[in-house]
Amino acid sequence: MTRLASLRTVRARLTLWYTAVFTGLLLIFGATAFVLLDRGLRVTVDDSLLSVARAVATSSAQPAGPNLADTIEAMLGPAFAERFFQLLDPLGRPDPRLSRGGHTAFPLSETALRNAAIGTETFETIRGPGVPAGGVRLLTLPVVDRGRLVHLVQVGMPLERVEQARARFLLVSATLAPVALAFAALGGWFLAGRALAPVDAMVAAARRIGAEDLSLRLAGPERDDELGRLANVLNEMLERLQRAFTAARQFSADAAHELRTPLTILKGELEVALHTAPLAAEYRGALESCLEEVNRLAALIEDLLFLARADADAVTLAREPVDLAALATDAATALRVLAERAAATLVAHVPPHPVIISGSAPLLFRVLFNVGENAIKYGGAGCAVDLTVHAEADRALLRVRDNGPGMAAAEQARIFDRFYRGDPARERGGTGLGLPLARSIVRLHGGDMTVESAPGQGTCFYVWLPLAARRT
Amino acid sequence: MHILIVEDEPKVASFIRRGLEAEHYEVDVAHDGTTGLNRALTADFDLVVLDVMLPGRNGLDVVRELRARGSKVPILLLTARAEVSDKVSGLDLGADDYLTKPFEFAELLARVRALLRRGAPAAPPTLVLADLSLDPATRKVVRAGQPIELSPREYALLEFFLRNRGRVLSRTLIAQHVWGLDFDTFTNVIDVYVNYLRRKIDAGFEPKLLHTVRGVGYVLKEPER
Repeated sequence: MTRLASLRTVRARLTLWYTAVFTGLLLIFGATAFVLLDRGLRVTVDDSLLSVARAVATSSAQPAGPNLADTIEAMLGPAFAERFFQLLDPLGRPDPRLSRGGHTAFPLSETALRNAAIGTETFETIRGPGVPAGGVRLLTLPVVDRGRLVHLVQVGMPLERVEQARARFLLVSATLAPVALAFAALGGWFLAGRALAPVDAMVAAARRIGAEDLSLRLAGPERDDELGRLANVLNEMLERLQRAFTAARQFSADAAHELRTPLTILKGELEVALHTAPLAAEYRGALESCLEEVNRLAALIEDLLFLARADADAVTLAREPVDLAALATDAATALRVLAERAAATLVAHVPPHPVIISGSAPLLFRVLFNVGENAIKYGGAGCAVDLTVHAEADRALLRVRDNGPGMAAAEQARIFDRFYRGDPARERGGTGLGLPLARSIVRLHGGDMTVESAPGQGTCFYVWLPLAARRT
Repeated sequence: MHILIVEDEPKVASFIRRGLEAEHYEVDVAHDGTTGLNRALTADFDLVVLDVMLPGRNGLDVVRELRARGSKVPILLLTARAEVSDKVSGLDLGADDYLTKPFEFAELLARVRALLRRGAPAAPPTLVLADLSLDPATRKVVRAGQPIELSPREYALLEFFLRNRGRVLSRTLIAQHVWGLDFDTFTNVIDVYVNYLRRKIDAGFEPKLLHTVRGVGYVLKEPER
């Protein structure tokens, strides 16, 4: 898996390509060299045979008589003359002037005989039993005297040394090629790494910017190369992103603010009417229903405004020592009401001693309530919710776990988005702001909130908050 | 009792005026800061309800000026912003209380009453209704001579009811006062807490004191005979 995954990097792919191209080049180069070497060796052998044969032909043409055998033996050396040399008459019979046993070292082929008849020499390669390993290169040279074929000179040369040279070349190539390839791959990996290092740095920087502060920019747009241009384009994109982000924040802050006045009027008019005017029952019912919705709207707008202000770092917490243990007990009592309605159960595990946090009690209560409510709502009927508070060395941990259907990673990534609701088919209720708001509050308190879940495995929310500094 | 409202939004000024008049207060309205300041300095008001965001002179300016000129009239600030800094500076400048828009009208009435009561003899420390009593000093609750055990939230709820006896309290108002929060789903929980409380203070006793007002909320009162 990791190997496959590592092939997905550009660096690995570049190295692979580089090595493949290098392998191809090496093969072409090696094959060409081999062909050239082979041809060169054969030409050399043939040239030597021809010069030896001509020398012999010249000697045999002189009327040396019975001395011919000695002359040739002196010229070629006894072992060679015996094994790879013959003088034949025009019909292919051994020449009587070489009276040594009259053996035939090699048969005279039809082709050679035909060629000799028209005065042409013949090169042949002979293999088989009785022939030295690697075969023998054989030259049949006709000796013509005044237009008449006098006799044939046959000279052979064993190809063993040629074979050895070819084998050595192949062996050396086969040994060196993998080494060269390994170096090529290493070099490719190194070069690709060097070329891509600035891109990696850019990726890390872009990720940091996305996660932390959209006002930061990538370094390097001043470079006049591909990477500089990339940085430039990314920076322009960040600029647009930041502008859109700021505009969205500003919009929700403005909208919430502007909505407050009409809401104040709506709410005030409704309440004063209900409070003072003698109303028929149906009017009263209608106004009460309106008031209920206005209250809902007002609460929603307050939440939005809170989130917008938290985004803009404009929330000032009214901090006081808060006992998270007592608050959790309190929230659990309220949550059990919701749990009973949803046919779910809620169990709270809270330490018997106070867990003191410096923060806002109503806001922290809301965190506990929202996370618990979410667990009950999405855990489904009959689910069991477990709420645990636990104090560590310097922080408090709140864990809310349900044994409901759980959720996939894609959904987990979205649950802290505003107005996101897990299952659209589910009954209406809540605004989709509960979890984003809870996390926002937790972060205002210097803590953080995470989720762990898998389909069919239930869901677990973790909230940790820094403990108040102990006074000594 | 004579109350001055300084509020630039005519509709807001209008419903506050009508609401307060229905409670038999005498009400004057000024629509900007300068007029408001002059009226407050020239006439003898028992209370000023003052918006912070005003054209001309803003509310905080008006407070500063009033106090600088030695006026001791109680001031209730209305602010459209929940920012702590606004509230703090308003109170620092000499305002007596503040309320964030949008507000519950019942809440406005409660604040108005509280501010007008200032200078009157302090309310008796023990809150009593019929044979039910609550002592804020000892946090003891007694009904018909029998001590009653309450959880901290139930106690806070009862205290809120006792301080507003005879008044219908909406779920939203209760949530804001007893829990310091108000959001959609939470108001459901209020019903259950009221029932817990009712079981402890009303079950087994006569007459019943805690009543449901359908569609509106709850009221703690002695039944009319």
